[in-house]
Amino acid sequence: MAISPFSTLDEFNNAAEGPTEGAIYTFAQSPAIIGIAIIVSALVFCWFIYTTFTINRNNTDEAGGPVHYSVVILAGLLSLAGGLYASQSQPQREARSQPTTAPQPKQTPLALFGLTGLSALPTYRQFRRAQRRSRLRRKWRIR
Amino acid sequence: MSPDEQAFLATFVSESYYYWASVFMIIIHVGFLAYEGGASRAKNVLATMVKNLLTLAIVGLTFYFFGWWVYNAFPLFPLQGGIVGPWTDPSAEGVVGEVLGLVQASYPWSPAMGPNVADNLTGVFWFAFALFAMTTASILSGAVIERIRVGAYAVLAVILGSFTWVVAAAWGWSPYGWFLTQFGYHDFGCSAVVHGVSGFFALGVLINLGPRVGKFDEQGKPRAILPHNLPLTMVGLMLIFVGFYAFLAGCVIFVPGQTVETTIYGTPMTLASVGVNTTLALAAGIIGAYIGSKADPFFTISGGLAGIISVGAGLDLYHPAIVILIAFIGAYTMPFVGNFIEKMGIDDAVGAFAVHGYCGLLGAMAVGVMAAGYPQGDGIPLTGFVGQLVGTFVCTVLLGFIPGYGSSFVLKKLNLLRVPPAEEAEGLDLGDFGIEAYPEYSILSDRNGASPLPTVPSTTDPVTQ
Repeated sequence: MAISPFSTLDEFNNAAEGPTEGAIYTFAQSPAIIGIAIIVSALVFCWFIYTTFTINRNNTDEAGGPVHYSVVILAGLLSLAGGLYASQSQPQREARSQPTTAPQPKQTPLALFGLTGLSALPTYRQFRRAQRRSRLRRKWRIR
Repeated sequence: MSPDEQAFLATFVSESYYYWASVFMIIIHVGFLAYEGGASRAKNVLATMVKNLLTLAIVGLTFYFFGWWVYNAFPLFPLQGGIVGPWTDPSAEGVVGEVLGLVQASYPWSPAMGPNVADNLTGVFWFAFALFAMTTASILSGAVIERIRVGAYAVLAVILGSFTWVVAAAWGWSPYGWFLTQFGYHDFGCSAVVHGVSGFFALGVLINLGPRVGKFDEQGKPRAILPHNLPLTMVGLMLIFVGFYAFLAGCVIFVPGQTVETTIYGTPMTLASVGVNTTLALAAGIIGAYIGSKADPFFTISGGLAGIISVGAGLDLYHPAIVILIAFIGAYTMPFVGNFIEKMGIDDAVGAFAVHGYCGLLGAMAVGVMAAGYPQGDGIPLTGFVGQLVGTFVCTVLLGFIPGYGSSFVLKKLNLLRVPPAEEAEGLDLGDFGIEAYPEYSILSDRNGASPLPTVPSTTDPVTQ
């Protein structure tokens, strides 16, 4: 695994005619390394999104546990990945079934799942609050 | 188009490129002005901002008097030759002869420095380097706010901005410098050459300068001295970001006769990569510092700069995905370094050491790991860990920390380094200028950082006059 794609200055100066076709960046001949770096970068970004929910110093939200947020983010990623996979695997059929330039509805439910999950966050909190209230009411009735 | 017209056009493109890049670099100083002014308490705003303004004058003039000559005269010294100057044999040939030509154009009395239709480029390169020098000195100014004497700061700014940084640039940011020719050092965006030098210089000064009154309690625990205007600080850093795009663009070499853009080391690169990688470093740096500092606004906004500095040295070589990771790591760890420095009893008001010193060191060393093995010329070692280590050590310790500590130690012994405690308690604005930055806020004087101790009568106080 070579970090530099060049061993001589001549190769470096004439990179456009070389095997890298002009690419002079690190790991230009090791696309797997670049792929891993991109995946790690995306995970770092997800960590950041997760952190924005949990780092609030005055956060009193009982619903937002690490597991809950991780599931929401994971669901979003999976749904986007699913949408992407479906769009790449069935391009011909889509073109036939949707000859106009209208938006493609086929992958929308899958892709929207993640967004729905994200938007459901406050709804879930409200649901938990309602549950708590209901439990308290029941408690009072028993007493 | 005739050959003469083509040649003129090529010259004009280079001249214009560096001219406008340098103009945009002034935005860095607008940013530093706002950043440091916002970071100070209300009683020290004017002193902080005027000190920053004076940096332009102090370094601008001294860089003309001798700084530009130092850059051109020192690259060969001490490993490849002596310091080149009027004493050098005018008939010298080879590398010494080439350097001598540049040195002769850099004297303050050189015809190349004045309006000269036979040389459009020497002056515009001086302009760009002068802005680099001012940036270096400005990094110090933020660390020492609210207690340093203006005169002491002026002396330190001259030493840092027009000498030690320039020596680092001559050795590590020049095609003739021995960092490159002997060790294969690579520092495209001046991570160690600018930021490492200035951050470690600031650390040396801060040890002698001491913390602001009230920064640490009786047990030595740090207290937060909050910026009087955090929004202004944030706007300031946004302006610094803009200026840094120009700073890094100014690091690209394009002169008539070249067929590709190159680094100062003569290796090929593209301006586009500066745009992509700087943007990603900025973005990754902000989120890194956000997480690392647990959403501290001051560290978060500094994270953008920390990210850029962490990748600056290899910005021309890194793939964007590598940039994101290095910038994130640099900015994520930066707040820990800042807090560690504070726990050591050092009051770095704007985190200059953590952002510039630490990330500059990290950025330069990252090339030795993540961009090792690049050729930079015949007979020149490949980029590598040892070459980066040597250059980074010389920049941070020999040209940064030791001169900063030594010069501030002398000033301290002469009782010239720090303002008297009474003036510090009263506020430097009143002490230095006799006026306040926010006269309408006098009603809030007990809440704007003023000391609860009895204040010293001001010379402009009508009652005492």
